[in-house]
Amino acid sequence: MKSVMNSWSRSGWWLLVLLSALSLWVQLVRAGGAILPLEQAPRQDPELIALGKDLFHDRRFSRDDSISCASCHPLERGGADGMRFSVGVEGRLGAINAPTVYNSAFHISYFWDGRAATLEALVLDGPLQNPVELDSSWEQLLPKLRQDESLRRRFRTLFDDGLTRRNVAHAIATFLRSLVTTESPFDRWLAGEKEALSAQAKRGYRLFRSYGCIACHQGRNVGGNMYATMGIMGDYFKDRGTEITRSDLGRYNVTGRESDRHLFKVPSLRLAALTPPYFHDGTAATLDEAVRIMGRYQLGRDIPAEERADIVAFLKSLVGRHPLMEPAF
Amino acid sequence: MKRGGLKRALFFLAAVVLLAGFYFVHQFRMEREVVAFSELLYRLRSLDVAMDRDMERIAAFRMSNFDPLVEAHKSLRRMEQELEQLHGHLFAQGGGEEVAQALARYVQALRYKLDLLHQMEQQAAIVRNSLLYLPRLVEQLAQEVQGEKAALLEMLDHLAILQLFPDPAARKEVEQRLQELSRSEGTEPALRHAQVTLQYGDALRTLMREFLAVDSAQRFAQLHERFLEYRKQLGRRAIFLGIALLLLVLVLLSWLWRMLDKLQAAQALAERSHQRLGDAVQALGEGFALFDNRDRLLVFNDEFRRMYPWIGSRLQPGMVLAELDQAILEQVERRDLEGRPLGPLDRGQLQQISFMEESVNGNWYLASNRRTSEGGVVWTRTDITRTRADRNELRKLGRALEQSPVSVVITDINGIIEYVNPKFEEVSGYTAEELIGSRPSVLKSGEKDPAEYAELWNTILSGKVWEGVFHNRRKDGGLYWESARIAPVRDESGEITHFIGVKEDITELKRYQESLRMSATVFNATSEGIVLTDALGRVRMVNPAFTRITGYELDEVLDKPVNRILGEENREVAQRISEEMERFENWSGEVVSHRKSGEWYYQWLSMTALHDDQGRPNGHVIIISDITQHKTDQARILFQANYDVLTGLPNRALLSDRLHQALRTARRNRGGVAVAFVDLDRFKTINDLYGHVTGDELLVQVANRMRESVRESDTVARFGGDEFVVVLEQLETSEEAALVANKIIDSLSRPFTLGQRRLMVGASIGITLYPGDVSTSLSVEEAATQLLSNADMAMYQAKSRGRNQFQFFEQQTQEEIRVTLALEQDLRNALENGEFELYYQPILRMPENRIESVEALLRWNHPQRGMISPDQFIPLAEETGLIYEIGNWVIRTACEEVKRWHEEHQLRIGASVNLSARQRERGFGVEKLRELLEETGFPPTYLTLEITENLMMLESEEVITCLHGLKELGVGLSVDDFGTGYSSLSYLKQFPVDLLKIDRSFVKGVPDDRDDVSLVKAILAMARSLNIGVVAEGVETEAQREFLLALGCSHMQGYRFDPPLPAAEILRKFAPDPGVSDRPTRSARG
Repeated sequence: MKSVMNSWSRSGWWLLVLLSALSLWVQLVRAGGAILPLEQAPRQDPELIALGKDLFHDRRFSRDDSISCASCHPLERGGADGMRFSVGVEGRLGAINAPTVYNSAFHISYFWDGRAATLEALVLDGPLQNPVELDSSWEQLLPKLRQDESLRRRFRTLFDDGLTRRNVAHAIATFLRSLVTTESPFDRWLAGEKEALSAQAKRGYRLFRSYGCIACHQGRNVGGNMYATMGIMGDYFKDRGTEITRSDLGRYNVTGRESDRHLFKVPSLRLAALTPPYFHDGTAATLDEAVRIMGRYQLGRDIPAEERADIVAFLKSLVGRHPLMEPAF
Repeated sequence: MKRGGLKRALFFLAAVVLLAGFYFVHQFRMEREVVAFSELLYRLRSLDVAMDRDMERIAAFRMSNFDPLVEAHKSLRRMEQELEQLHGHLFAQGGGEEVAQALARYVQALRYKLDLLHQMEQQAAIVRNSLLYLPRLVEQLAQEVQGEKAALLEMLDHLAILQLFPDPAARKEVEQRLQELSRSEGTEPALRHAQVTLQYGDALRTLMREFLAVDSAQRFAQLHERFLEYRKQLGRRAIFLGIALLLLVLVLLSWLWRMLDKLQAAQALAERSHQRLGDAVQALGEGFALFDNRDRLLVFNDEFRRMYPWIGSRLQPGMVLAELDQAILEQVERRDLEGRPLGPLDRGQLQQISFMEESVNGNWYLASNRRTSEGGVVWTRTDITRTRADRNELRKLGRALEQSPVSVVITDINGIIEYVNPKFEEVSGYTAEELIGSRPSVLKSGEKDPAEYAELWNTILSGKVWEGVFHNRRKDGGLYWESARIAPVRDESGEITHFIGVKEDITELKRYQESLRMSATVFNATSEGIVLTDALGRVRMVNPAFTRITGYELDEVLDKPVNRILGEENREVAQRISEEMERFENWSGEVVSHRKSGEWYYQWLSMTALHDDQGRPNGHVIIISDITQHKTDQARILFQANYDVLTGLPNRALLSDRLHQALRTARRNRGGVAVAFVDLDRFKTINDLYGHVTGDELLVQVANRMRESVRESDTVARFGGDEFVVVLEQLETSEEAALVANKIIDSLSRPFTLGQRRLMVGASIGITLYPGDVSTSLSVEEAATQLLSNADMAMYQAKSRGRNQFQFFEQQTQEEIRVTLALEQDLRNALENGEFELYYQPILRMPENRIESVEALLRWNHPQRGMISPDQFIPLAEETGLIYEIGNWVIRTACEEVKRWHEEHQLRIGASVNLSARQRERGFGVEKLRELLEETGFPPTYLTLEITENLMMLESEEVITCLHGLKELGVGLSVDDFGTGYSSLSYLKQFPVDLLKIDRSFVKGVPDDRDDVSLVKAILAMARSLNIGVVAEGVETEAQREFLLALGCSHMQGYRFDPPLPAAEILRKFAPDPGVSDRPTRSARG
């Protein structure tokens, strides 16, 4: 009885093991649910969003009233300026590639090294104070804004305590959260619209899965929800040939953990097609190049050109729409 | 005490309610927070559990996207924020810190777990990546490495299983297989990925173990336990507070009950006192009302109600003071104790004041409002209607006495003064204090008969009234007159008790009568007429002088309007007078009126308005003086000053004024003015000829004609002698001036009839124009002077051009005229000063070359300008008429000189003298020549008069007669400048001419100029045929002499022979000559 029980339990155990392994494979290969469609951002007070939008375009945010947030994140061009490093006040050059501001609501944290936990924190302490970006401060900015009677009135109607740095941050963050691109061809395809995706894109998607890209670039934002080390299967920084900068250290700058060296927030691929160049150092000028580098250093493989083209086609299908953005294709 | 207690009770009650309220609010809030916290705890725990589940899924690679972790991240963050908000209140109580600590530990654990999850997800992603890629890689490799495909696939399975169910044995087996495979060619990439999965899988599991090691569940249990404990503690505290509150309320309620009991007892007591008070008040004779400290009417009596019947039923206890006050005022007027009206009373006054009230039905109340000790008010009202009426009556009489304009004195039966009124004090100069107690006799001046006083006393003691006049002495010694009336006063029983004297000061009246009498004397005696009128201008009174001036008696003019008697005839003037009277209330000026006799007269009239005491106009006083004589004197003086007595024309002075006035007007209106200077042409002659009376008469007629020739607005003035000046105003063109000038000339050219005679005079007129001829920058006076001088100058020009002409002033000739005028002046003096000299040019007989006569030629040796040629001054002399005098001088001098030569030097030659036409005009004739010849004793046959051809052609009849007359005297005649005129032969035959002088211009042309030669030939032939001698003038050359000689010219004169020479030269050259003939030169006639 006991042995029967024993043998049954053993064979049962094996059966379980096998079933589990099978299911893992199936799950892995299908990678079902890895990429989710983007949904419209929850509705917010339109006045608040409008205020955030105006502030986002307000040049008074820079020390010399020369540039605004939108200068490096032009909304009509995908939310990033297409430069390797953006140019701040007095033509100062930044040290890291500016990402898009679209779909930022879904990020785990902000900046390549994730040093800001929320969008509010990003506004409160980020580009505003950065000497190579806006090079200003709240002490400088608030008096300037308070001279604007109509702006003060708008703040008073929206907030009990009027024009404060917290409320400025909240307004801009709320506006940024409203920047969600929807109805991308891929999302439509996920929703069952068979024709929404071209054959090439479909091939690309299959490759994207089977090359394992989808392990990191997943979720609604196809990335942005985790951190990953740049160069699992090769030393990217050594091969890059240029000196390693502070920016290259990635999340190490925040945590100080040795294991976090070269750890970066996985960028969202949603608008990748619109926002070259790529990587935190902006070295890849084209999507094709970016895919190649990713294959090389994250996979240890040179992905053939035609397959790269397919993957690029897939990536392009991720681009959705937003009223502030020019129609992409 | 009662009131204070109630207040305190209420205060405590409020405190308790507040406390209870606060307690419940606190409890409620606490409860809510506890619930919220519980909920949070639940959510935290849920998150914890979710993370555990996520960890499982990550570890099993079943988490295909990590968005849930992002969500977990965000929700943990949110919950932390919520906790932050709850924290402060919730854990402020004792024991709260422990809960907070436990919570912090738990949250820390959660954070740590979340962090681990993130790290795991990184490892898992890498493993997943490799696991995802491996099948494809194997597929690719399998094509290259045929044999190993099965082994590779198997390896994949093991890898997968190992990742799901890691155990050392399986791991070992996988590593062994990898080892085996590594030996095969081409499997390297697959093996590397397999290694990656192993390596990161290990890391993943390490993290997983770490995750599982986190004692979050335990921490939660601890937190939960602490929280429950804390809740219990809070509950206990709440119950304790509740019980304390209940006890407090009970204590308070019982205390309140006691208070109410006491209150009721006090109220009953108060009611009784009130009743008593009411009875007392009712018994009062005065009106009475009592108010409490909140101004509410507590009690009043019937008397009070009776005093204000109109308030009626509104008068009730509880009525507010202010309300009652208003009700009273409906029919009452308030006055202060002096009787003055009193304004509305404020609250303070209503509580503390005394005053009087007069109701509409005529009642008077004395009102007194007083404050009570408890802060209320008591009003009392006393009816004083009767007493007040009596007092008023007395006061009125007293007042009358005080104000009386007459002195009043009251004495007792003995004459001792008891009362004097203020007027008495004023009149007598004594004060009441000084007078009271003394007798009226202190005022006696002593001028009254004692008998009169005795009579006074008798009269009044017998009870009758005495009336009479006192002459009294004031305290300051001044005397005054009083009319007095003294009457006895009797008491009820008819007994005389006092005397009253009423006296009036009549001193002023007496003085006034005196002054009136004096005024009347002046009124009657003055030489100015005086009229008094009433307000309507009707005559009330006139004085004798008025009657003298106007001829009207008072009874003729009484009550008649004064302007009918003295009024100005000119309506405009009359209107102006009445306007000025209205405005200034007085007026003075000249008025023309007529006397009763109808005769006009001038009067100086002053009129002043009169006013009564109130300043209302009540009449006029008018003073008139007759100034008729004065006026006529004045007019005469004025006329004489400005007019020429003879002609009645304006004189120079008035002309000057008029001209100034005209220029000012012109300047203002930009108009034109012409000034014409008129000079009569032959006036001097007439004056000389017929005497001054005739001359004056002529001037009067001339003046009249000139006046008629111009417009009324123009001025004709006598400038002096026979000179007149006409000023033409408002001139638009110079033609107008010319027109007037012509008109004047025409009118003056007509013959004048003077007595039996008809005389002709002409006029020369010089005209100058303003503004053309003078600079406008000149002042009016300078311009006037300039204009007169211009006109004068133009007049001279006119005269020089011939008579009966007018000439406009011309600027450019002004200088010439000035020079000429200067020369003319010099010329007049030249004769007197002996500046003239005669030169003599010999006339020779041909062919012998023998001197036969000399031509006397005039030279003027001007002291400044040297020798002046006759060409220059002869025309001037002719023009001015001086030629007559000069011509006479020449004849006389030549005759005397040549006669001396005859007699003293045996130089018997003739003399020829030029005779000008003007000379003749000026009166030179046969008579004058005879006179000269007789005067000098010069033989006429030696004298030849040279006349010009032109003279002969002029007034021919008269000239011929004259020439024959001259000829008859025995003198010779020659025609000078022959050939220049138009003398015809027949013409020449009419004249008794002895000699022709061929003009030098023809002589100059011979023998070369053919015309001249033929003319000279013709003249010589003609002369020969007429048997007239010929003299060739201006012979300068030998050729001329020979030629003329050849033609048979008998006489020659010229520089070829001799120039004009002074007398001495002639004598020196010709006198010693033995060949000088005694015969007169006129042998040439032969």
